[in-house]
Amino acid sequence: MKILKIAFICIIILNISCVLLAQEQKYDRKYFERKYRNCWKSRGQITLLDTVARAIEKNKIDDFHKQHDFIQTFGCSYEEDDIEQNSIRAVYRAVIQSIRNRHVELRDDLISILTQNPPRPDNLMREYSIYTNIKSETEKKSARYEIKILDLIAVPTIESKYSVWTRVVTRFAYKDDYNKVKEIDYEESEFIQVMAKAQEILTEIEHHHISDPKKILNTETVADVYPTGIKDLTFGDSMNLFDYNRMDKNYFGIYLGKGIIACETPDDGVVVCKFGEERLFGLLTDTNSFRRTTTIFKELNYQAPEVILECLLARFSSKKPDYISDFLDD
Amino acid sequence: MKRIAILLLYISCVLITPSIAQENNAVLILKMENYEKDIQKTYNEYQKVYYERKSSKNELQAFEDIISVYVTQILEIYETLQLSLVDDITKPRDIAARALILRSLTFLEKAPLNNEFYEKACYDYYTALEMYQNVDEIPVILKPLPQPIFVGAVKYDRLIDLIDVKGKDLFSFGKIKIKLRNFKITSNLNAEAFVFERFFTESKNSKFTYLKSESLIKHAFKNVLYNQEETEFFLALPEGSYRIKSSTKYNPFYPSLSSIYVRPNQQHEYIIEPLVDWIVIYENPQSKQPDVKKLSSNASSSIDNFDSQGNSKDIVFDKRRKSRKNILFSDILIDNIKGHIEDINADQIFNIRDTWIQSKFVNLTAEKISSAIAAGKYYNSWSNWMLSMDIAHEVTEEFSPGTMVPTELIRLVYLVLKDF
Repeated sequence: MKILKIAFICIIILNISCVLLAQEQKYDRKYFERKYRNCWKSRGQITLLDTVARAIEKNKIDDFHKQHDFIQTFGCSYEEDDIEQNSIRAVYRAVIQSIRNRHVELRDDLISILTQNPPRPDNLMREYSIYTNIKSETEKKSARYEIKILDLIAVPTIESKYSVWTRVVTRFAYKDDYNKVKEIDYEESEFIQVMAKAQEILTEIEHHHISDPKKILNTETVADVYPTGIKDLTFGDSMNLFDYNRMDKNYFGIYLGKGIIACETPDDGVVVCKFGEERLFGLLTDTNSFRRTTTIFKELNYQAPEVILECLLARFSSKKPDYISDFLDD
Repeated sequence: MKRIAILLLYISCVLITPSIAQENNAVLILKMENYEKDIQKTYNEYQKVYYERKSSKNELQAFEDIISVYVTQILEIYETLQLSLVDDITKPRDIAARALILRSLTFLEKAPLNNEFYEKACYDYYTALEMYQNVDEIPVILKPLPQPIFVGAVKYDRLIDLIDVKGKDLFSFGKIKIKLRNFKITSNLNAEAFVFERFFTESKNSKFTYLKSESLIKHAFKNVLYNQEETEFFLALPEGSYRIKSSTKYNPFYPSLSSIYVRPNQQHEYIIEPLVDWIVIYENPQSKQPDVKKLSSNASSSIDNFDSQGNSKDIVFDKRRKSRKNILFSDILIDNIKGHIEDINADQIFNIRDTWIQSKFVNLTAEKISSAIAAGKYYNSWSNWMLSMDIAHEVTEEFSPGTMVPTELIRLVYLVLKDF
């Protein structure tokens, strides 16, 4: 009876302390620096990039499919917080890759078709048929296109608990169409290359370097696109930040997604911060300077993993000067 | 014959309908004007009751309710006129904005007794100002009133002068426009568990409340989670730092992700998006690096011709010599101001037709504009009109202390700011 009483008191004390801790929500920067020491390894899981790279290496197209004019492509997705949505995106990316490889264009609304009959890792919806356009010099001809999902696997990775990768084979339904198409590329997934590039950029930024990301993004070249506002910005877009005490002085910044940027600062080197926090370093964003020198991230709809963005923000939090007093001092 | 009759009927309908609509609109505007007069009368009575008769809370409440009924009527008519696409919405908009500001001033009278009324007043004030967003027209608070307002023995011809006296507390608040986007029904967020709290404020501002904010935030989140559409709303918050936290989820990093910083008498746009299993709140940047080349080409004359008296070039230049860029920037501003003096009715601004006075005036105005830009006020003022008012106020304080800020001076500063 006595033991029960002691146990009961202990549980109450534990509960109260947990509630108090939750209410307090103290923000210890050093703690976060330690906790998020390595954004790409902190969770004891591997990256989706590694997972898919291994799958590509391991799963070569089998002879049966090869002989029947199929080509094999891969796709993956981690952006959504739902396995079904990620499955749709992954299959879409794999099919679009095969369409690019065959130099044809999509005629149907593939996303709608996939959304109506969603491919799921645990169901039997594995085959689709869509229409494509084969363009020749003189005409545009429609051609039926067969899609077979060979693998669709949900796997928790660093990027998301709901990551999905897929292996897809595709071909034209009729041999005639196959013969009309120009030579085929056998690239299995450009999205994987884009992910690799992005991961390199994010890792360099994590280590406080910005010169390599600048090279990867070709920031010295003339921009292809000039986003007009925050809603048009995508990963890899660059911008200038200016010192509001010396308006001629510019600092370089890269947009990472979700309002988060990596930028050079006058006294603190490279930092990652949210839009608005650049003021803590005496800077203002020049919204006229948004530019896109590398369009591949936009074309393939790349979005940086949210856990990595959160981790970067947390890691760089110790670099930020104390809030509000500086912040409010206009 | 029948066809001709139908045709005639049709033509008469086509001709008569717009004229009936116009007549209806005129009647509605007349109604608005009458309600406005009633509000003004009630506001004067309210002051008498408040200051002279030391009335009870219930009596004051009755007056507030009457004003609120009139304001609701005016806003309803304004909405109707907006929907019926009236050609010139300026007059109804001015009446609606004036009604809201008068109610705001009424709330401010009572605010020292009940701090919540500062916040209430601020929401009305911001709603009135919001009507002039993205409109090039001068806001109603800077325009002459149709009927002057008497407070005690003092007569006020513009609302801004009355606000300067009675509504200084409004300037301790900031307006935060918030847009929620990219939320989905699958987002793992419980809006009911959100807590909105202030974690930093200057002690002088601790009396101001922010009671409406939490319910507005929760409502917006529910809306965006159910409808998956972008939602926009605004908050009136006293200067300070705020954060959204969850009463059920615990992660000490969350407060940093969901912090909002409010500077007084400024407007900020924030965007809220989901991030992992929480949210991130960030500012929608508005700043643009001033285009020195463009400004130079806009400038009408050379700076060297300007200071013909030799010793009037002093203040701005000596201060700015520290940085070469700043000298250039001020020079360009001076040229721009000179250029725009021709676009306004300069006779209404002090005695600036006199060359020596004009040179002093232009230097001072350039200095004030330059420092407003350097301090970042320029990028976060709720509109260029309001910033123009602030700058014009500072210029008047130094140039001609104790006098009303001339409307033409506000217009001049606005034109200069517009060139950026």
